[in-house]
Amino acid sequence: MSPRTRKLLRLALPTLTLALFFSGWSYYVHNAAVSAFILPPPEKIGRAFVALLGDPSVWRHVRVTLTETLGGFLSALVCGVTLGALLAKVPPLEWSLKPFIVALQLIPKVALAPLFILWFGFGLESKIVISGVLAFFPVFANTLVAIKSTDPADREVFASMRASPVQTFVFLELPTALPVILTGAEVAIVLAIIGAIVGEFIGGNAGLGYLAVMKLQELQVDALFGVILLLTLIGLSLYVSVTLMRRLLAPWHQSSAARL
Amino acid sequence: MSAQSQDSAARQAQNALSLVHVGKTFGDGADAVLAIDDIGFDVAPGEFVSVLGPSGCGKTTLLRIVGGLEPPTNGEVSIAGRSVWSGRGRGEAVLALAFAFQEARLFPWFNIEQNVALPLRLRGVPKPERLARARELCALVGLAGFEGARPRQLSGGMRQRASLARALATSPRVLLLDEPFGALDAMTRDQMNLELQRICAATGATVILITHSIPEAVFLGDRVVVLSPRPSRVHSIHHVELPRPRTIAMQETPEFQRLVRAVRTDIAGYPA
Repeated sequence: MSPRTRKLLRLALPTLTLALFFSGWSYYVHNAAVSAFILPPPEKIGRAFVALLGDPSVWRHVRVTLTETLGGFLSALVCGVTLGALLAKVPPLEWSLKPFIVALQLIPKVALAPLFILWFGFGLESKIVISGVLAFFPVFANTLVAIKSTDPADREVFASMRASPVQTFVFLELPTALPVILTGAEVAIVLAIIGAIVGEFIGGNAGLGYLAVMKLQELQVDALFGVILLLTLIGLSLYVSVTLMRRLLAPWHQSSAARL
Repeated sequence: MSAQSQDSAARQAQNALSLVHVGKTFGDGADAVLAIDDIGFDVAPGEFVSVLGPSGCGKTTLLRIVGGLEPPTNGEVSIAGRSVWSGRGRGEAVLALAFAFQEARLFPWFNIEQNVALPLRLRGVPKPERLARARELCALVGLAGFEGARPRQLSGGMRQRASLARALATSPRVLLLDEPFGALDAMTRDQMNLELQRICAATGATVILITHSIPEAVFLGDRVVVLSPRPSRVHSIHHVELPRPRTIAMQETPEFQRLVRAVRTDIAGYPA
């Protein structure tokens, strides 16, 4: 296969898959005995989506969900890196906190959401906490492991240059860990969105998760699909931003060269 | 202090580097392994000493002890009369040393001149000063024009040059080389040996080189120290009287070949 054909196929094939999927969907809805209330045809969803975009109140919900997601993600980033680095450098602290770390990893964190609504109320705060708790673990775990697995031969070079522990951390351990931390952040941003939406589902008065529940109750299934599409696009753009951040901050790393 | 030990102290102060009855045991009790039995030799300022020995004889351990990275079980190492492992002069002694390892170990988040300037950065040298020094060193090791390159963009030989430049950044009194060209192909290695000779002459550094290559040890060294198998001792010391600067062609001379044979006989005396 010539590189040109390859390039063409890489573009043409996914487009074809999508076209087939949506025409199959449309054909099925129009020709089978399925109510448009249950499964609207794609063209109707498209119209509902455009209508959503034109509605100013929807943008208020977008802002709320974005605030919650980014608030949760950034708190998770700050807490995860700080705690991960601290525990990596002070092993007794890691041993002491081991039960909590294991618990945090194993508890279905979504199940904690009602508690956070109880503690932090129905506003933004509870959603930020839920989102942050969900996003924390991948950042924390990646930071901890990456700093601990710094190459001993690299440590030897720093020892031979008589670097202080702080210098070794700043100039060796942190840069070594950075690509891995940012890979954790890519997972974290997706979890942060889930956290925000779950929070809005169970105790929200604004945001796209809340809007989805409203649309369901109003039986506007096409608009519900529109909200899901909007959420997907927001998720995609956040994920791509974090990926770009990794390429920008750690351009030396091999996986930065890899394509999505 | 007795007159005798005062005398030996004075002798040590004149040497760039002095090893006295250095011994190393790993582990303790029944599991103890005696790695280095007793090694002692002096190195004069500006002298180049190659250390050879059968594989597993503790050459790298010896270099780590000399370099202040691994404490000896017995004995003493001193740089210009200051002990590396005890006493008040320790900090100063250790700061007069620099290492280059078998792998270049440059850091990909720094470009070449930042890598070369790193030891100075760790010592708090201001940026313009340390970068000027790094550019000077890049020129010395033949990397002029590559100051802004990333380590990944350089060949193995060029990376090793950068690693050497980094070791020279602090103008060390003693340079410790742990098989720095061991991972390079034979042709690059010859080239790097010539370069190393030129750089050493230009900087006047005192050098300890650990190597597995007998011709390399003879080609570069003023003396070749041959160690015995574990637990190691100094088996023999060969003086290399070949004039400097040495050329690759000199490796064909009878004197060079005689030395290589003599060293090889010493090492071959031990079963591998």
